Amino acid sequence: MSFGSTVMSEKEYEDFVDKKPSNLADSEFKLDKEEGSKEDEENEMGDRNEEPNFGILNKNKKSMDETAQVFTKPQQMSKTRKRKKNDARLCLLDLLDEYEEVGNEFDKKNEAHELSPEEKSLEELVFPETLLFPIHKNFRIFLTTFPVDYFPATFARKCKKITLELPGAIRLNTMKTLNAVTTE
Amino acid sequence: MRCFRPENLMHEIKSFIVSFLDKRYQEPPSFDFVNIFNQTDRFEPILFMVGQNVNTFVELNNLRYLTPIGSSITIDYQSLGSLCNERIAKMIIRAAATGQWVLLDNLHLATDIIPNLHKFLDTMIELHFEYKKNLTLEFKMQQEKALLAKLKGTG
Repeated sequence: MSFGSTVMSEKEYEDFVDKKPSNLADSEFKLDKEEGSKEDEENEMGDRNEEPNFGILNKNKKSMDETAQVFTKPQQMSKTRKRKKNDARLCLLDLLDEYEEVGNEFDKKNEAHELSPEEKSLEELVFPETLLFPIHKNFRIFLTTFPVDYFPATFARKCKKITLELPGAIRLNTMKTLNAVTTE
Repeated sequence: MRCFRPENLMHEIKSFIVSFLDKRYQEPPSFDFVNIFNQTDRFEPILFMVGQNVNTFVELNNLRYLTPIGSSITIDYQSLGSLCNERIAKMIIRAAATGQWVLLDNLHLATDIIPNLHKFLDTMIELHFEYKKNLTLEFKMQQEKALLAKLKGTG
């Protein structure tokens, strides 16, 4: 998916956002898959190999089952991961790093496999396997924008909006500074 | 006939409010960032509409020390406006896993990525709940198995 057009009507925008990515629609979670027969798994692996590789995490042709195992069988992980007391999140980050390193090496060897800018879209980076963890409760995403006309209203509606503006008067500015001072 | 001079109108309205009600109705409330932050959650992006000469990173850094969780938080900063989609996605995934904050600055300069970003966040939230659901199902199945084993043992 390219980022070609900047102007998008509200209906087009909503259609685009509501449409599920193809990799998500076909996805099944590993927790459910484990109970299936081995034949199914082999078939799935076969299909996966036939598909063109894209994205930073899938391009190295490494089975993503390992990611699922982080959460289901932490006792079988390698020594480095055991050192981290089987913390699932840290294990996942380790895996992300590993995939990245292997992917980079693979790219160096085979230049033809380099991803085009279109393949590097955000949509394709969303893999169900990589997100087999809950979103941390402290996670926040902050976005800043100037008040412009062309900002999509649909997205603005989804967000919590805060206006940050410097106070106009000296008195208000001083009050703001005083409010920011803590007892510490 | 009574006429109003527009340049004096605002001042007169303010003095009318002060004389009729109280001084506190005329003064704008102080900006309580911590209180606003407490009303947010992890599933909803926070959009700052900033004016000129506002440094959001400094404001967030101040907020970080005012919140009880601040000591364990780091802020991942990315100014938009260039091709950095891959970096943004990785940054968000990492922050979501470890509970950090992500600040994407100047979104108005990169409106192209907004639909994809919207979809990305929606997908992430969807997967979060799907994961939770699967986890609950797994837990229930384990409980049922344990119960069945217990029943078999007693029967």
